[in-house]
Parts: sequence; structure tokens; C-alpha cells
Amino acid sequence: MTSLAPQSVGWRRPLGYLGLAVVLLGGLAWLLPEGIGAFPQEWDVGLGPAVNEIQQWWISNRRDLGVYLYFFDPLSGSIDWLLRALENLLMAIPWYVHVVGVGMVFGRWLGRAGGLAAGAGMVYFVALGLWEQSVQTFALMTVGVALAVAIGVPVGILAARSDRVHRGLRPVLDSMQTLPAFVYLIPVLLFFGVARVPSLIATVIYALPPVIRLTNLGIRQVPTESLEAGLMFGSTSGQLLRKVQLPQAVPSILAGVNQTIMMALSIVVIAAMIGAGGLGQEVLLALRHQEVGRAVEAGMAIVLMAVMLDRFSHSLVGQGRMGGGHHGEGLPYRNWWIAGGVLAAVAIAGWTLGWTDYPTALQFSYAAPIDGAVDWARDNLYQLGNLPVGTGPFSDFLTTYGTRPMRLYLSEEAWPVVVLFFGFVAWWASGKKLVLGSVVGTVVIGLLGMWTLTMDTLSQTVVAVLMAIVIGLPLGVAASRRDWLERGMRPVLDTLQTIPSFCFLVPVVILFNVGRIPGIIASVLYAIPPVIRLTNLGIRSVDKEIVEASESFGVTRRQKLWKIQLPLAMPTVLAGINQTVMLVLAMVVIAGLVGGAGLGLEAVKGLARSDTGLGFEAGASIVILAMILDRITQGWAARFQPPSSEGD
Amino acid sequence: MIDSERRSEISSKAPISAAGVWKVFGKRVADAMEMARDNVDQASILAGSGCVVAVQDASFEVNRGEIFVVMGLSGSGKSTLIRCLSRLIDATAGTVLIDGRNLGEMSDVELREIRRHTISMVFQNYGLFPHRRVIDNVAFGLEVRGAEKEDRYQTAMQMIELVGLDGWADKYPEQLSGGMKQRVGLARALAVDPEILLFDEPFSALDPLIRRDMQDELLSLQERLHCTMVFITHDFSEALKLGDRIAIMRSGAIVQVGTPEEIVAHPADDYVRDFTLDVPRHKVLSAGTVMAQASSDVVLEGEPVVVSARLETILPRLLTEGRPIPVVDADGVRCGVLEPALVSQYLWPR
Amino acid sequence: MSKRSTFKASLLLAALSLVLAACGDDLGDVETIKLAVNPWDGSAVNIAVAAAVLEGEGYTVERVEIDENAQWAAIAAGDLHASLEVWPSGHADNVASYIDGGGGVVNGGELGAVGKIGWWIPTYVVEQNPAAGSWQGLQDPATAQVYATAETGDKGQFLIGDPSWVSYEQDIIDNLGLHLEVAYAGSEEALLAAMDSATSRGDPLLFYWWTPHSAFSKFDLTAFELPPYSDECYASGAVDCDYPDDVLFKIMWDGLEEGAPTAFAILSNFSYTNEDQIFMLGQLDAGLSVDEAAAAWMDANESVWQAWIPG
Repeated sequence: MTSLAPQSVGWRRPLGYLGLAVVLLGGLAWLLPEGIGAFPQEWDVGLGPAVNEIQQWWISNRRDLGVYLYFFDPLSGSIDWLLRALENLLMAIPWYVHVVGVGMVFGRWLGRAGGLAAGAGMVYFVALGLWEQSVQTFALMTVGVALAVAIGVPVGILAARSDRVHRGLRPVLDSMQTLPAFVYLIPVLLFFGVARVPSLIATVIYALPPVIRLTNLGIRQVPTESLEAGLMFGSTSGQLLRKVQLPQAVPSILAGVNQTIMMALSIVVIAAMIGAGGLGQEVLLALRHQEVGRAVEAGMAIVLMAVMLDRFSHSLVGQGRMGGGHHGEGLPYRNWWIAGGVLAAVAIAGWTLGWTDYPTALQFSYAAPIDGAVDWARDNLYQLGNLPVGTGPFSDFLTTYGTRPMRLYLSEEAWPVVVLFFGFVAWWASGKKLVLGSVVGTVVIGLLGMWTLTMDTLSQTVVAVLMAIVIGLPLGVAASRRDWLERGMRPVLDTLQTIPSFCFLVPVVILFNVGRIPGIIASVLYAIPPVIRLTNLGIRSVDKEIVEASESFGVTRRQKLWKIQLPLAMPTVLAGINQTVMLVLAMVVIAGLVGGAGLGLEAVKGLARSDTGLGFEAGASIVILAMILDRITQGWAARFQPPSSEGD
Repeated sequence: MIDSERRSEISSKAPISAAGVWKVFGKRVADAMEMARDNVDQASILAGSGCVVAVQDASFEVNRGEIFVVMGLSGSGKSTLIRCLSRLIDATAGTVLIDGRNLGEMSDVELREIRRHTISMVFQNYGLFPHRRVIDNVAFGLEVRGAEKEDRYQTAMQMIELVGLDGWADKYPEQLSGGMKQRVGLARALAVDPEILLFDEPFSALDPLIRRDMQDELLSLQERLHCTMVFITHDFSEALKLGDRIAIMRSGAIVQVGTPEEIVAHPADDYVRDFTLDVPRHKVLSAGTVMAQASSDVVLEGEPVVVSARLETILPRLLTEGRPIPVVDADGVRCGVLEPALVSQYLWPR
Repeated sequence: MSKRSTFKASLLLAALSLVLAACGDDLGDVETIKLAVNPWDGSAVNIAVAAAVLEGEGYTVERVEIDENAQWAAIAAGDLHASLEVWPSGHADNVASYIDGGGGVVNGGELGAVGKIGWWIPTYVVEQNPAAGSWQGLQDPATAQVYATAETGDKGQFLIGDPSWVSYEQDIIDNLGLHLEVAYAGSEEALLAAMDSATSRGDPLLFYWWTPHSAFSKFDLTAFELPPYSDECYASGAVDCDYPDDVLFKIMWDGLEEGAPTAFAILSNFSYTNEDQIFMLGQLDAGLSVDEAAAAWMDANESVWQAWIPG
């Protein structure tokens, strides 16, 4: 193992250390008195009951509280009004006006092909009978994203101007992104009452962090000289912000808005659980009747909406970078206003005449072939005759030799050993700074009474991440060698990341049995794109000269990959693995919905039993676990950076 | 040799006067200053106190209308020093006087006022605002001090013409070449009609030929404007070309201040001498610097030269005539003699 | 299509209601009744029938799809007005805090339909191995092994769905000495998928389910034999018998009676039998929409729902 050392700069702590640690800690476990197993339940600090008491108090007293009567209630009332107004307006406009209008707008910014594709996308919503649902989802998203921007930009500015705010905000934002929405659905309901508003608020909570982060980043990235120039001409801090910082942060802010839109779309289905309606509701309804095809149709509508909004906001980012003075190479609509006027007239005419229906004859559906495919997979892939080949035996194998032994080991081993092991991994991967955090974090999980469940979730996470790496790394390498493969994979990966995981829910259970494995499979599907993408990117961005230099020594392809490309791509690959870990943890709750016991199921329980306290305990544990794993993988990735920056 | 004309101008009313200016980055400032005073080197100070001493006890005065060049290699603290002159960075110790007023004691409002009206700055990487057109960049200083749109555009157009960018007013910075960008930077700084111009290595990012053009242009502008300029550079030949006086910095400390000729002729130490080795000395040195005292009783033949004449104009004569040439001051009174042997010592010191 | 015109209508209504806000008749101040639709078909058809009756009386009805637990907070706040099919076994805590604790919700009386939770297996399991169909059989480890999976190892797997479902499984298993281990499918959808997967191959599966449910029309299921329910068995604290019948009930916002007395009366009187609901669920499986199924039932049973309308 030590032979790796000269090869990759950051590899200061050999893998062998980990093995050694396992042996030593095993010995330690031997020395400990009998009976020290999982973290003692009596040490549970009882956060859950406390949270529930607060919730109970709020329920009983809410209607006498000024903050509810004069803040939350009117606030949710006005948001509700806004949502309905937007929805009604959009519904009042006949679908063909939408198709043409959206096509024109896209054409203006993205060129003729973009316009046609966007128009076709709009037809998809109508032709599959998803028009009303799409409009609802779109309205919810628009208002949600607008709110997120309205809150996020000022907060981001504050964070950019004060390091203290910035430092304080970081864990809050991390939590917002990793805390499963399930946990705060009920509290949000209690504060914001009306059915559609809480789902909007949940969406905003989840989707807010990117705007804040990227506003902050954008402002902080304004070149020092630009700031100094602003100061040197005697700008007040307000002038500096308005005239120098914000304008230059616009591309970054727009990128944040783009990410926020994507995040908002990714919890459409969960939001539907508390009454968001729309496409998410359609997915849930279809699943309830085991109609995978219909769920996929609705899911693909969400993907389509995501793709359209993504392309559109990306083109805005491009515009922003140009300083706003240049226009894209879109269709030149000289008579933009006239076109708009005509469309408006057509819209009003269509509305008054009631010409709003989509011709039934032109409706189509591809649900049947998908349902057929699922049935075919069930009948043919589960097991090949009596051979131990197929998804069923695979699932059994993974359970018997993967998740089950690891879970039993982690949850039955003496807890101090596990805590120390966490600390050691943190040290091994990242350095001593992280050790304390990891140790404290794991102990807090124990104090929350979530020890065993967390170990369960951890074992599933490890298996899912390993699986994603084992599958994703070779795919990434392959894609880096073949352009056609890279191009072909891109839409597949995009779809995997945007299609609601709920669509996989039924097929994974059918193929892999209820239990921990289907959750793992669903997580891998959702979380594998970053590994593939970043492996590909990492290898492709290795300096050409270095590759040529190695070729001049006559390396084989295999040597080139193992000795040159992979080591140099390591920081990027590890960044991909880091993202994958976080995405797997984001799927913990979904895994809970298909029998993946552990924290996910506990969070579901919290919602299902209105036991917000339990949900919070589980959610907090997920957040802590996520933060520890995030910092560890990030620290690990950082060690692979060439040390040149230190010597400077 | 001291330029007596300039020396007489030095007074407390110097536009910029720095006394004992220190800048220490880090927390244990006092320790670091102590160590620096004991001539401990930077690396040891960093190891011992965790601090970086960027500027160490810098004192100098800049005269009205002169170009004062601060020359040093990267990491010598020159950029930090110029930022202390405008309080973009607060000095750790010492005082900076601008027109006799203590910069460090100014309130935010006063500081803003002095930046709006008195001091302007040109940056190494131009520091242009990428989201503003050229004209809006140039008009920025007028805009923040509240000038009407028409007025500021009028002034900005004049400045754009002054730096030779007619026709580029509506372009964005990224559409310009490096040299053009720095012209915008210059126009922007000039637009507020400042008394003091600070230049932070303005030409170092430019190609050699463009750099030379810009230097010439700066000199010709200065002939018209008579601003007080502080000019940072790491290029000794640029310092010689532009500077009325030069301060040479090393590890945060100013090791020598003087006219280009003084520095070339009498480098304060080996560090400075190293810079002067490749200098075309005949272009820098003047008769007054290299002449020998001549006793008035020795009769010298030949046409005398004046003290301020550069050696490059005298050398041909010296070489062809092969005998001493008398030197006279501005009034025609003999004050010295050029001896070929002594001159060659100045020209080829080793 | 009809939805689109209701949208238009609601736009107009919204405008009108602004003008006519002061002119409300005996409907009460609350003219838009918001009903909770829970994520199962029985709830959807109940609400469809109620909506049709209320609309017949001049109310505007808004249906909100919402989780059965999440609905409590919304009803307590008056953001929703009623939910018509609450399974008492799953909501003891909600009843305690929202109804008994004065949290803003009132009990709206029985729905009339009666649910029954129990243990179920595909019929082919008993046909092949009768011992696997009763509790006595599963006291034998070898028989219980029929239901074993990789997760449960030697023991048989007992599959339950959503963790919110009321569950005495562990008690029953412990007290009867069954060689079973409880596993959560996590959701109703996952449990249905597991049924689909198992029955397609003829694999054994033992799980928690309830009637009435549309799954019975898709799968041939047989009740697993447990000792019959008795009050004593539940009172003893050590449950070792079958589940009791679940008498479904309705819940309403405590401000509804004052705000919309007619609607409150209709919803309070709303009641029908299992057969009525199963009739409509059958219509759904035949491809009708929820509203069409409701209309079909209302056509055939006018006397039933007419009786709900006061005076």
C-alpha cells in the first residue's frame, strides 16, 4: 500500500492505516467489559418529546397568538391568493397560446431549434392530459422561486458583507439541504395552514440555499481591484453594492436561481404529500394504483419542465455575463410587441369563446408499453429459471453479505469503538481538525436516541456509495474515451437526476423485494450521475502535455489510466463521490418508503404519526451524518490537490 | 549629488508625506514589529509570530508635480505601501499626510471626500467594471460624487479623447485590448481631476511595445497635467524612465530614495547595485555626477559642457578628443572637469 | 374539460363573491367548503359524493389532496373543513390532541362504513400449504420458514406497509409464539408492489392489509387465521388476537357549524355502508372517474343522500 505514496501527492496516510485501525479497535472492543453494545437508550436526551410539547402548545394556543393572527395567517393568505391568481391566469390562457408564446420566447433567446423544441415540450404537457397539473406545478414553482430569490438575495448580500453571518449561515444552509422535507412538513402546516401554502414554504426552505450561497459567492468573487477602484472613487458602501458588487455578481446569482429552480422541481412530489397538487400529485396518484407508466409520464413532464427552465435560465446566465448589453443569437423579432399583442388578443378571444380544449384525437400516452416493460422485467429479470441469477438472487446476495452483516456489526459493536472509528476515519481522510467534530457528532446522534437506526442507515449508505463507485467509475472512464458515449449518456444522466425517484419506487420493489436493497438501488440510480460525470470530466481535463509526455515513454493504455490519468483526476473524481454521498443521503427517506429501515423510515414515521419530535430526531441525525460524511469526503478530496499551493 | 532645485520645494506642504509607516498582517503585531526592528528576516518573523511584515517603517515625501516611483520585486510590499497612501489598507503604525492632513484620522466621510476629489488610482489589472461601458467606467467617479448625467458624460468623453479612445465609448471592457483597457483606467482616474494619481504597476500586464507607448504617453500627459504621481513598478528601467525620484523597496523596507542618477551613480547597497548593472549608464548619468573637482588654476582647452548634460551627448567628444573636458554650471562658471579615467569608472564600475 | 370550466366558474364566482359578500343566504359565511381527500380511493369517493351534494345546495367545494395525518393541523386551523374517513385505530394521538384537547377539530360522527384490519396471504399459499395459513401453523419454525427472506434470515417475514398504520404485530407475534419478524415495506405503494411481485411468481407473502380496498379485485387474497377478536384480549394489554372492526368516522373544523350550518348538517348526516363504498370502488376499477362513480351511486341511491340534507 505504501508504494502508492510517491504516485499521488496527497496520499500521506496509506489505506493500510485503516486496516490497522480496524484491528486495533477490534482489540479495544475485546478489552471493553461485556455488554457495551449500541449507544445506551437511557442516555436519550429526549429532544423528540420536547419538540412535540412545543407543537402541542402551538396547536392549542395558536388562535390566540398575535404572531399567528397578524403574521403567519395573513402571510399565508396572501401567498395563497398570489398562487391562485397566477394559476387561474395561466389556466385562462388557451394552451395553444402558451405553446406559441413559449416557443417564441425560447426562440428569441435560444434560436430557432430551441424555440421549436420548447413548443414541442409544451405540447407534451397538453397531449398527455397533464395540462392542469403542469400549470399548477409551474405556478407553485414560479412563486416559490420568486420567494426564494426575494429572501435569498438579501441574505446572500448580508453573508457576503459579514464573515460572521457567513460562518453562522453555513451549517444552517447545509441543514436546509440535507434535512428531509418530511421532517418539517407538519410544522410548516401548523404555521402556514392553507393547503397549498405549506407545500410552497417547504419548497422554499429546500430550494433557498443555492440562491444564498451563490449570491454570497458572486459578491465575494468580485475582483479586489474592482472593489478598490470603487472605493478609490469615494463610493459609499451602498454605491459600492449597487454599482460595483451586485452587477458583477449577477451571473453567479442567476446560476443560483437556476439551481434553485432545479431544487424546487426535485421536491414537487414530496410537496404533493401536503397538498401541492400538480404533477407531483399525479405521480402519487399513479403509484397508488401501481400505474408505473402513468407515473413516468408525469415524472417526465417534471423532467421536461426542469430541462426547459434550465436551458432558459442558463441562457440568461450567459446574457448576464456579457454585461447585459448584448443579445443572444436568437430569432430577431423586430415586432416583439406586436407579436405579444396578437397573442394576447388570441388568448382573450380563445378564452371568451371557450376554445380551450385540446383535441381528444391528438392525445397520446406511452404508459402502456412502460407498464408492459415493468411486467416483462418482473417476469423475466427476477430470476433466470432456478439459477441464482437475476435481480431477486442479487438482492438476497447483497443483503446476506453486504447490508445485513455490516448493520449488525455497527449496531452491536461497543459504541465507543464505533465513535473512535469515526474519529479515526476523519483523521485519516482529512486531518485532526475534523476528529472532534466527527466524535461529537456521533455522540450527539447517540444522545438523540438514534444510534441503532443511524448505523442501519450508514450501512445502507456505504453499500449504495460503493455500488455507485463500482458502476460509475468505469462508466466515467469509458465516457472519457469516447465522445459518442459521453454525448449519449448526458440526457440519461440528466433524466436520472431530475425524474422523481418515486417513479422508480414500484419497479425496484418488484425486482428487488421489499427491504433495504430496493432503496439502495433507487439511491444508486439517483446518485450515480456525479461519479460518472466528474470521472469523465476529471480524466478529460488532465493536462494534454502530461498525457503526451507519458506517451513519449511508451505507456500502455492501462498504465496511462492508472499511473497518469486517474491519479491526476482524483480530486475531481472525489468531488463526484462527495456529491454522490450527499445524494444518497438525500434519498434516505425515499429508501424508507420501500422498506429501507433506519432513519428514513423513522422520518416517514414522524410525518405519518404527526410525531414531529421523532421526525426531528431522525432528521437531525441525518443532517449530522451527512455533515460528517461531507466533510470527510471533502477533506479527502482536498488532500489530493497538488501541494503547489502550499509552497507559494 | 542632490538636485538642489527640488530639495528647496520639500516642505510640510508636500502633497504626500509618509512617516514611519508600518503594515503588519497577522495578530501578534507588536512581536513582529519588534523582530523586524532587530533585522530578523521575514521567514523567521512568520515562523515566530505568524505575521507578515509587508511595510516596515517607510518614510518619504512626495513633491508636488513629481512622479515618485516605488520600485521593488514582487513581495517587497510596494503594493501594500501604495494602498496605505489611500487607506485602502489601514497602516499598522505611522502617519500618512495628504496635503498636510492626517489620512489615518479622517472620518469615513472625509476619506470619501478626499478620494472623490483629491486622489485617484490606476490598477495593475485595470480594475475596470465589466458590466459598464467604457464611458460609464470613465464617468464612474463623477457618478458617485453626484454629477449630472450630461456633465459627467461630457467630461468622460473629453477624457476618452485625451487617452485616444475616440469611438470606443460604447464598448464593454472585455471588447478592448489590454493597452486600451489601461487607457480606460487612466481616463477614469483623470476624469475626477485629481491632484494625486496613484499607479499600482499599471503597465506590467502589457506587452513590451505597448508598455513603452503607454510610458511615453504618461510622460507627455504629465507635461500638461503636472499631477503628483506615485507609481509602483517592479521594472527598474521603467522606474528610471518615469521617475523624478525613485524609492527602492526590499522586504517591506525602503532601502534608498533618490533621483535615477543618484541611485545609478551611488547605489546604497549591493542589492540596489544589482539592479543598476544592466542600466545604459550613459543615458542616466550627467556630467555633474561624474566630474572631478578641478582646481581653477589648471587651464583646460576645449568647449566646456554644462553640469546637467547627459554623458551620452558628451561621450563621442570624450572618446575622440581623448582629453579632459571642462564642466560649467548654469551660469557658465567652471565647477569641475570630466576625466576619461574617472568617467569610465562610472560607466563600467567593475 | 369540466375542470377547466369550473376554473372559469370559480374565477367568476370569486369576483361575484367580492360583490355579494354581504348578501349570503342561509348557507352561512363560509361558502367555499374545503374537503380533505386522503390518499386512498375510499376517501376520494366519499368526498366526491359529499361534494356533489354540497354543490347541489349552492356551496362551492374545493378538494385538497392531503395526507391523513397532515390534514389534522389544516382542519384545526379552518384551512380545511372536513375529512370523511378517519380510521380510529391510526389516529389515537390526533384525536387526543385535536379533538379531546380542544385543538379545533370536532368529531363529525360515524361514516357508516366499517373497516377491518387483518393479516392476509395470497390464496395459493393456503392451497399449497394449509398450515401456513393459520397462527398454529407458524408456531412451527419450519412452516414459518415459508415466508423467510434474506432480510429476516431463519424467521418468516411479516410485511407491514406505512409506519403510521396501527400495528399490534409485534405483540401478536410474541404472545402467540410465532416465528416471524416484522418488516416495513415503508408505504402502501411498496406493499402493493411487493404483492404484485410475489403473486406473479407464486411466492408466499404474509402481510397486513384491510378491507374495503381495491386490491382485493386485483389479487386473490385469503385472511390469515388469527384467534378471533375479543375485548378481553385487547384489555389485557398483551394482544394475542385479531384486530377489531374499525368504525370509520368523520372530523370537521370546529368553526364549520357556525360558518356554514347547512354544510355542517349535511356532512354530519353523511353516512353509508360498506356496500355503497365498494360499489363505487368497483366502478373505479371499471374505468370510471371518481366523480362518475359517485354520480352512478347517487343515481341509484337518491333516497340515501337526500336524507342527509336538512329540513
